[in-house]
Amino acid sequence: MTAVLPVEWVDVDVDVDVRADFGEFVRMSLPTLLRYGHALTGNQHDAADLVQTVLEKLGSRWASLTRKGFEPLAYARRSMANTHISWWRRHRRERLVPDLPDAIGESGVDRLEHEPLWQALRSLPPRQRAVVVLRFYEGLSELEIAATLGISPGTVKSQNSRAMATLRKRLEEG
Amino acid sequence: MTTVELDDRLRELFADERLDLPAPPDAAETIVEGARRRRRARVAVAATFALTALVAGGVAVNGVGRLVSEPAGPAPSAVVETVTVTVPRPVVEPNGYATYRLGMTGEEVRASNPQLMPIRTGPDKCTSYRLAHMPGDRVVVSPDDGTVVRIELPPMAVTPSGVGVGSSVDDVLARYPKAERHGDRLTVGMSGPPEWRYTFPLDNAGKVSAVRMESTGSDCDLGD
Repeated sequence: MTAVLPVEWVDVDVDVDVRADFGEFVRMSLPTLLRYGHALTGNQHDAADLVQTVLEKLGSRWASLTRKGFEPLAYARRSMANTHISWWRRHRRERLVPDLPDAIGESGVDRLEHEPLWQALRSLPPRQRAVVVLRFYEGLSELEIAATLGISPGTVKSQNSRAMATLRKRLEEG
Repeated sequence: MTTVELDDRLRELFADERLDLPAPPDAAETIVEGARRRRRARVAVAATFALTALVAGGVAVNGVGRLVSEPAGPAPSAVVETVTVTVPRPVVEPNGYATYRLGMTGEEVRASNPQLMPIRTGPDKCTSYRLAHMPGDRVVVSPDDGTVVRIELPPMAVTPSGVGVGSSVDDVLARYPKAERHGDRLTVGMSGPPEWRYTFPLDNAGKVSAVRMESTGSDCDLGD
């Protein structure tokens, strides 16, 4: 992977370098980010959509972000968590309808579809789900989760307790 | 179930190999191209701002696409700056995207893409469709005359004038000076026939979160 680029993405040579550099990052990080998106969104379509949107935005600012010494994978993950939460706010009315088409992808039924805990996670609002994913998928502390999502540590704590109570109830209901 | 058991089950689930998703073979190229398109749209908007600012400041325009500021008098401290900008040409804004057009019939839509899946039929009896591979690419058909009344562009797409997901309110106003703000969205009326509009919902940060083409006068509930 090319080192930090000292100039903006302006002339042709730089444009080619930046695109090659960003392209390599995308190829390397796609499997990781798709998996992370799957955990965050709960379905493969939204996961792919989320990854594509976040990476395109990141790529459009790649040169300036690289100059600032950012860590692209961490940046992408943080953006995915926050973008997912804001998307849900926008589409909340649709999500009130059973999500049947979402569960069926190109390759058929989601391979986790029959896992009770995976189903239970669907009942969480996205911010609670994001807190759970950041805690158990990423292994972040409450403070780190608060910084990632731009909320207070107290909110992280309360969102986490609500999420765990909901999951426990759903699992006990069977 | 104890707290520890639930914690363990969550860690186990998130470590499950079934969480892996296959990346389409051309996904990286698509994303790199999408990033380039977004960046170009942003640069074009920035250039328009530069042009507006310079003209507003009384700067002389010499030739096409090049602005040269000329000092008002012979003051020795005057500074001459040269700025090159791209002057946007008039843009054609068709009332459709890809194979979809506002006003086409539901049958034509379904025939154009057999992978369209109905998402829902709401209380308004309007039917939404989405594509299996592109969740954001959505088409809404009204029951009144059975035609398309809304097309939502996929996240990577931008309008012919360069507005896409992530554009700021200022970006939109620069590209569409007639844009009107209605609460958490901007709309831009487009001449027909039939008349239609762009709708750009805004997220909490005030950025465009979706791009929709909508027929005006439709009875469908086209809210968020």
